[in-house]
Amino acid sequence: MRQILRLVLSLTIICAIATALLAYVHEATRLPRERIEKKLQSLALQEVLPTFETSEKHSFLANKSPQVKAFRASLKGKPVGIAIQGGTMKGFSGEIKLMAGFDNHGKIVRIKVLDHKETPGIGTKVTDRIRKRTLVEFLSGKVWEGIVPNPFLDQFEGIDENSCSSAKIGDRGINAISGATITSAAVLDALYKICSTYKLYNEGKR
Amino acid sequence: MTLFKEFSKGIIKENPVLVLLLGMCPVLGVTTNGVNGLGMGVATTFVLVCSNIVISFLKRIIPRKVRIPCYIIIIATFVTVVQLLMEAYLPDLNKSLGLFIPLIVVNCIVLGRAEAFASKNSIPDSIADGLGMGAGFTLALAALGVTREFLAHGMIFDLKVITVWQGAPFSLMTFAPGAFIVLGVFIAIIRKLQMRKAIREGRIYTPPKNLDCASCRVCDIDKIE
Repeated sequence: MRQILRLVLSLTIICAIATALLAYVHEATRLPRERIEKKLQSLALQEVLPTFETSEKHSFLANKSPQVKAFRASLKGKPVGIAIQGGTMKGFSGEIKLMAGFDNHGKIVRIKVLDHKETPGIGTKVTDRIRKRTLVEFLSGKVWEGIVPNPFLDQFEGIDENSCSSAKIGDRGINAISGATITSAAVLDALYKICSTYKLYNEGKR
Repeated sequence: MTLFKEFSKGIIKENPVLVLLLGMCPVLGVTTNGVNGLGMGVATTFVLVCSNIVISFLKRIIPRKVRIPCYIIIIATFVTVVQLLMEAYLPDLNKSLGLFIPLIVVNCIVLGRAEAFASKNSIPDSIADGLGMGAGFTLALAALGVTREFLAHGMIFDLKVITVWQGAPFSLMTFAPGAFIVLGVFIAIIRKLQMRKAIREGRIYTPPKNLDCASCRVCDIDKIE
């Protein structure tokens, strides 16, 4: 009996110390982590939207889940588009955060995966834009500018919100990446959510 | 001298991937190219060294019967703390290594070395062991990654060497079966080299005595306590 108590007690103490440490580190690093997230967010906005000068957080969906965010961008006082950020938990190992930019005609400009925990080399074929260079290019020091193509993410450029919310893998020209079916489906799921949010935004405008 | 021995044994003699066959999940999963193999190896080495230090330090405090849950809690806490700190202060490093961190929490090399080595040895020895095992893991993963990458795409460390190979002509190598095949060939080569060396020295090859199965003391746990 005394021995069992000793085991339980020591396990409890170790768990308590671990929890306290985690809570402390989580709180201590919260501000810098938020700052970096903001920075990455503004970089992502520049990538998914047409050229713009100012962007502001748009709060037409203030009562929706905190995962979903919208940003309105404008150039010389005129709106040029809206970017919507959404997420899904259906990724291969947890959450995938996605941002899509819509121009004034309601067409998708570009989509970008903001954050994910997919398997490197498999799921990242879907989510990341990785530059492929040849040895000759590397040795000659050739520098590439612009956005790296990604065969999966690029499929959604130029489609409107209606065909986006009815798009299925294997249908309407949406091809999944082989070996990364779950990640492909999860990105599509996040895009559905973004498109339905965009529809809400459009209805609110009318 | 013994410190160096603890370090060097992890590279070939007790290589965690090719001899101990630990951590097969990341080995098969992330070795689709050399860069990923290297990244996973470096991240694992870091966690391995740190967890070995903590476990070795706490070896007298943790009761034997609940040691495995204690090790898991310590390793998981450690990995999460490292991840939070990296997200907050080293965003560039986080971008390249961050994806591997969640894979390490349940990596059995870390737990295996905690149980088989760090819980019985001094802190300096445990650091040397962690570094050596990490180096062996990194080398094995990078070699596997480069081989698969080259066979599948004609690339080495994300650089295209054979430019006429478009797409993936040998796409089997990008999937898990390709990893199994390359791993099997690597293990066979290592074993053959070790056997040849043993014959040259006039003895019969036997696997290292302190492999993790041999050092498992689950059956004697009541006698120890």
